[in-house]
Amino acid sequence: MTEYTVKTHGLTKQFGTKIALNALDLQIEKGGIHALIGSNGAGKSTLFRILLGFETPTSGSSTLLDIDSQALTPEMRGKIGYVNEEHTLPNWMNAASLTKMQKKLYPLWNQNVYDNVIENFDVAPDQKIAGLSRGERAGLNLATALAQSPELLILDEPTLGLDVVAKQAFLEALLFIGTENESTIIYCSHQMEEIERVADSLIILERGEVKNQSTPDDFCERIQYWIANFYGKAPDINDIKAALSVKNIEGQTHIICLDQQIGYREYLASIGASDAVEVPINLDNAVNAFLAKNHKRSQSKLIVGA
Amino acid sequence: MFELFKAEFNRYKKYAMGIFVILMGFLIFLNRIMPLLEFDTEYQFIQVCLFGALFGIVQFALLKRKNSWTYLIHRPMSEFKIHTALVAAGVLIVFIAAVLPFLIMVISIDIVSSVGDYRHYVYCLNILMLAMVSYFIGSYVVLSPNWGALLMFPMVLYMHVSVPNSIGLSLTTDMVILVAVYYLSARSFKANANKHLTKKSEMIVAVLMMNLSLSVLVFLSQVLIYHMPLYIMGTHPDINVVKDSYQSLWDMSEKEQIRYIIDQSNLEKYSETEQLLARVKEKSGDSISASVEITPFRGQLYNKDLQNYLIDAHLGIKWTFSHDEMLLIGQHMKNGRMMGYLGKTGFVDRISEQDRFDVVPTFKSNRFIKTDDEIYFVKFDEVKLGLIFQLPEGEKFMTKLEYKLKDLFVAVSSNKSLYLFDSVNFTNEQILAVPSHIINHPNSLGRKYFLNYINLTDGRLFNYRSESYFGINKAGANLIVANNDGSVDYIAEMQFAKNRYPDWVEYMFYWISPIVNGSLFSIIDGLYEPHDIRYVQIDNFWEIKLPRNVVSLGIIFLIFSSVITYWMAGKIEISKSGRYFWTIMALIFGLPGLVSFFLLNHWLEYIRRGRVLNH
Repeated sequence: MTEYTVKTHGLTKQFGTKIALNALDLQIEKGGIHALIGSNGAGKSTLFRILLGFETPTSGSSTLLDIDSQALTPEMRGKIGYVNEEHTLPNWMNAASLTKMQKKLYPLWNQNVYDNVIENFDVAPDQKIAGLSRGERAGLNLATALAQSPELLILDEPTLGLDVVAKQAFLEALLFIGTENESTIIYCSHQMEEIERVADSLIILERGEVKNQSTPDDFCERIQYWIANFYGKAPDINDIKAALSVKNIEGQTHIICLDQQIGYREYLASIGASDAVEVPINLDNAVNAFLAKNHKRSQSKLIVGA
Repeated sequence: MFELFKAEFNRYKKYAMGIFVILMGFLIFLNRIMPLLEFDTEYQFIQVCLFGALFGIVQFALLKRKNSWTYLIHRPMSEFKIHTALVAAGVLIVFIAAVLPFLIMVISIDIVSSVGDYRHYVYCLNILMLAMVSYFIGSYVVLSPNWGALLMFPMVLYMHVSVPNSIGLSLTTDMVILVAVYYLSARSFKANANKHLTKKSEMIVAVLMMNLSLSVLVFLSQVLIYHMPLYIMGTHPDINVVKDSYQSLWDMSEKEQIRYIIDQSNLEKYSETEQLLARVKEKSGDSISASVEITPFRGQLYNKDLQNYLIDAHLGIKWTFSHDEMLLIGQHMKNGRMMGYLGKTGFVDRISEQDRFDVVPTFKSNRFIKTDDEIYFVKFDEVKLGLIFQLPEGEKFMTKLEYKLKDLFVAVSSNKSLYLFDSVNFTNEQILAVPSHIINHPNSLGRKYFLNYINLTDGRLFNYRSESYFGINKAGANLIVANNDGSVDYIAEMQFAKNRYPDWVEYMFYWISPIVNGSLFSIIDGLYEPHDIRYVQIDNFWEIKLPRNVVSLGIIFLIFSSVITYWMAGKIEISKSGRYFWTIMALIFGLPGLVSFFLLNHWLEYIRRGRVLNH
């Protein structure tokens, strides 16, 4: 039987007139790295806040490690690591005093993990946290979070604002822990190359609903990239079946579409396209097109609504 | 938990030490100007409360930033332990920055002073409590999802200004308020900081702590709904004095007042009005203090009787009253040498039990020592203390001793009579002073009244007047003549036929909350401040007879508050027992209870959500 670390059922959160989560049904399996993506305002942070018990859902329910997320005990919190995009740490302490405090707090503290992760970053024990660079701070935060030996680690845009070197070190540390123990990691990011590299599954959240939950490869399978020629003006995106994105690049029409594995070449020919060629698509382009289409749809809905 | 406490303390310790140094410097400077323990402590009240409140707000506002909050709460530690660690650090910071400098100064002063009463340290405890209450309210303001928490700050003022008649009651009250605000702060410290308190005990404490401010705010609403509109229209009773009201006296000359009171008198008609008017020396009168003197009690906070000393200027000795010893201790002002004791038997070198005063006396003009029922006169040049007046059994002084130098008399009131003395003979310590007149106070007079006099060609005309002369909100006035031959004539006594404001304005404090404000609050207030008659006191509570329309108004608004609460509670997601609970609260607390319901529940969110769902 499949074990789940996260389960939500009909989870809804409304802020005034805005619906952040819309009857969300989500199940995340135990183990592996699960990437959670979505455009700004898709409901990712709200979901995390509800899962960690910092917000009450308007309706519906959610569990973390089979415990109601609104009733997390201190013991349960000890099993769940959380790293936010700001890498919030006590600025007035130094690295050594922080780790000393965390060691006392977390009974499963793993010094080896801490040492292995922190060596990727240039953080001296007596260095004041306020004086760390963003990358070093991220490293220290990740090292302490991983050393707690969490069953579940939630990373909310942890590489935001990091330079290439820091990002590289961060991902290596993450991969290290991925192979080292059986933690489940939920990784929220806008960086597709990171997700492509580390994620075992890809969850796309849009307007408070799950739009995709599969492996990254399976998601890419759903998206097709066609280049075709149209005589005269290419049809509008709304007039092309299943199109997520239509662009005119150097006289050629680039079409990204969803779930059209069979017969799409013929369809394009039927609407006036010639020389249609399907080319491979990377995760970045696929996700961007997927999100952009949904975003435009929500905007157009808003305009219609207004 | 200790690690978190240490981390939080380390976060602010440098700031605390900085403030500590600045405050020490300031206190040393003050002590150079004047002995520190004689300074008015208002500055200290403001300092400790402001620091406590601001620190509570800043500390928790920094912690409550979204990501900081998540970082803080999401750890294997209960919310209670996290809160305990944080507030323990916070209280220590408040103590170091706001209280410790003063405590160090007091210890240093007491070491070299002749009077080192333990009450100096009780005061330090008191300001620590004030600082802590302010701190916890500050933290609660941040932790609570509603701004109603701000309404608890006046509780600090209440702790400060109220004058309970025992130190035990004072500290107990402070402790009760401290426990209440700590409880609210601790209970509102939860992962989901947007959630209101849900337990009934929490809500009861929150409502109780807000009730004072809410009652005052609801009461003040009469400015908007009554006073301002009438002022704008030019029909307000303050600018169009209501005929036959207490305030109508203000518009009359002295002679008109006399004629009016005699004409309206309930007593047998005075037949010599014109002769009396002819005896009046116009504009020669004055008022006599009628406000109840708040007498000190043993062990009370030292700041409530700062000037509790006499000075022998000739020998340079300061005689300070010691609450621990219950007599005055002399200390040379220059060399600090002990110069003996001054007890009720006079100047002595060694203390015996009979020297000690039974109560803490008050001092007047560096010459008089007044106890509950005795007045002593001190003659430093003759090293002598003499008893010059003693009240009859069962009487107690209520006002301070007042010298009317211009008119050559001395006045002091007991709980039964006004005593007048010839000022020339008053300090003749060879014999007990004999009052020139004893005027009995009117029987029904409340303790808040005015007493004026006008000089006559052959005596003085006294006029008692009060808005509660015949009981609560039953204004009245009288006229009494003290003749030069020592006789006293009771001329007239009247009750004013009308009140300045309509009953609903006059009695608003009662009808907005008939049960709590109209009874419970009055009883507590009466117990707590027996000296201060502002509303109803315990001893005359049962005498209140509210006008029938005010009683009806009270009942109507109780029903209104509870019906609205019941209806509104049904609109929001609240349990059945919660709905009944709030309805009962509205029934008990009246309009302030209704406002509390709106402040402590997410009703607005439900209305907005309802609109979206309906849409």
